[in-house]
Amino acid sequence: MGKALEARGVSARFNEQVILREVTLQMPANQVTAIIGPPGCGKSTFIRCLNRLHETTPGATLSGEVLLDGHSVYDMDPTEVRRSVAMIFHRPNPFPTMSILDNVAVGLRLHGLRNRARLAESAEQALRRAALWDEVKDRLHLYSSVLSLGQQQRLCIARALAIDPVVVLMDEPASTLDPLSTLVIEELIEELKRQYTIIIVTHNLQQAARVADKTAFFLDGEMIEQGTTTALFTTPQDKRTADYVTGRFG
Amino acid sequence: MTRVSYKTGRKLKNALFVSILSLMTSLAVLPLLSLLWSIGVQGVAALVGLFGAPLSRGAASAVLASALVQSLITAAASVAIAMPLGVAAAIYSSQYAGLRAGRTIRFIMDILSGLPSILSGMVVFVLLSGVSSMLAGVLALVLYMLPVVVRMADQVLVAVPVAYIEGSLALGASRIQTIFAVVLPTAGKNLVTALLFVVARMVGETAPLLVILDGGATFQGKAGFQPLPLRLYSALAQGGSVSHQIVYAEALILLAIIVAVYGLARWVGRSDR
Repeated sequence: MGKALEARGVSARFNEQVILREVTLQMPANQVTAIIGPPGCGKSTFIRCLNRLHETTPGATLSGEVLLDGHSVYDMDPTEVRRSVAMIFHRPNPFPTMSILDNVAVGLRLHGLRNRARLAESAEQALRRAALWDEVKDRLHLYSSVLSLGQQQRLCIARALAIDPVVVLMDEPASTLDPLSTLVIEELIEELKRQYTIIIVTHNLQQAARVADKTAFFLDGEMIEQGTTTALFTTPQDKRTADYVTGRFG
Repeated sequence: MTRVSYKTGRKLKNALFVSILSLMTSLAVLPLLSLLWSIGVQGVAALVGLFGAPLSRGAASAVLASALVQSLITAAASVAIAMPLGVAAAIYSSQYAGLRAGRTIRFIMDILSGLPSILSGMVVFVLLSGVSSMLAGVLALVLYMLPVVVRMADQVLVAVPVAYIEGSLALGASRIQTIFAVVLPTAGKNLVTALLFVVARMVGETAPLLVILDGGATFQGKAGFQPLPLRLYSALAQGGSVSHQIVYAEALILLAIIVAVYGLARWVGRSDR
């Protein structure tokens, strides 16, 4: 089951440049929360704060609190946080030196699982959950570069699911994919939210409307408005939100 | 009429520039080729001459063989010390150091690798107060190689895409796990190639060793630390027909080693494997 995530007054900077200002947002368990906004509004930085990846970039600092099921992730070991809060990146990034199978198993292996049979079993499970198993089951030992971009992205999803997270962060997961692969990913998201809490960053408004239960609109590092997806798109309270969702800018 | 003359003029100009460029290229390449040719021809003749004679203690061929062995041992020992140290430093500068620290390390390594190699020999000479030995030679070469290794390995490691590193961190891998599971394997082939180039450069290096050689013994061809490049130098200094022969034999062997290492580096670096 997924767990709820909550950001309280999260601010982030790169050196002197302020990227996020005091963002507070609740992301309910087993729901899809979409973060929308024009490029450079801080939406990617925001989800990178949720799994503590932001701080790995030189010059990055932040303040505020992120709570996973009520516990502050900034009081936990970052590697523990990232095991619970998995991440999918905008460009598929399977490890080029590993086979398809190893790509999925690598997370578990890094966490100490050595038993080959159990690794293979978990990998198969993850690949099935990522709707990729049938397409790769005969070529598990080939390099991941034989897969199409859309398949590579689902491989990355399988890699993330294999370590049994409770939250899955997705940073524009379909932005480099063709429409058909995008559809497959969106259907997958619908399926995954039964087991995981999903937070998806997207600049594609239709995508947010299609997949998200809840949507938050970011602009210039601030969270302008949040609400159920239907409410945000049909009856936005803030003029800037209305302008954005009706396509007047962005 | 105007069209034809325009065309001829353009062709003439083109021919002129092509011939000037070809001439320049030949000027650059021909001396090198003639050097390789003379070393090749005379070297083979010298090797046949030297090793055709029965092997005996003190014979030119024995001295040569000893120089070769010393060269290989010195090179192997300095590589064994400099590579792990240098790669570790490069891992630090590329993966752990912040932007400013990384830049500082790179700047210092650039300066150090640009220093004349004879200086590293001098430092070791002073440190060991003039003792000439294989150890001193190894130390001098390590000192000479280290900044080059750090800089080259750093360049290769920095080129590993951040996307892979973040992909690994996002799975809950620690920094050190990420380095061994993702960064080093991804850099792998390029790293080995870069390090082999450093080895090829180092094998023929004479200057740092020149300083620490035990003058008298070496020049009289007696015992003492004398790897190939040094043998070559002292044989040249001795003069005479036997030493002329030795010089060519040694030059050929040295060249062969360097070509072999470069060849290996290119083979490892080939993209289609």
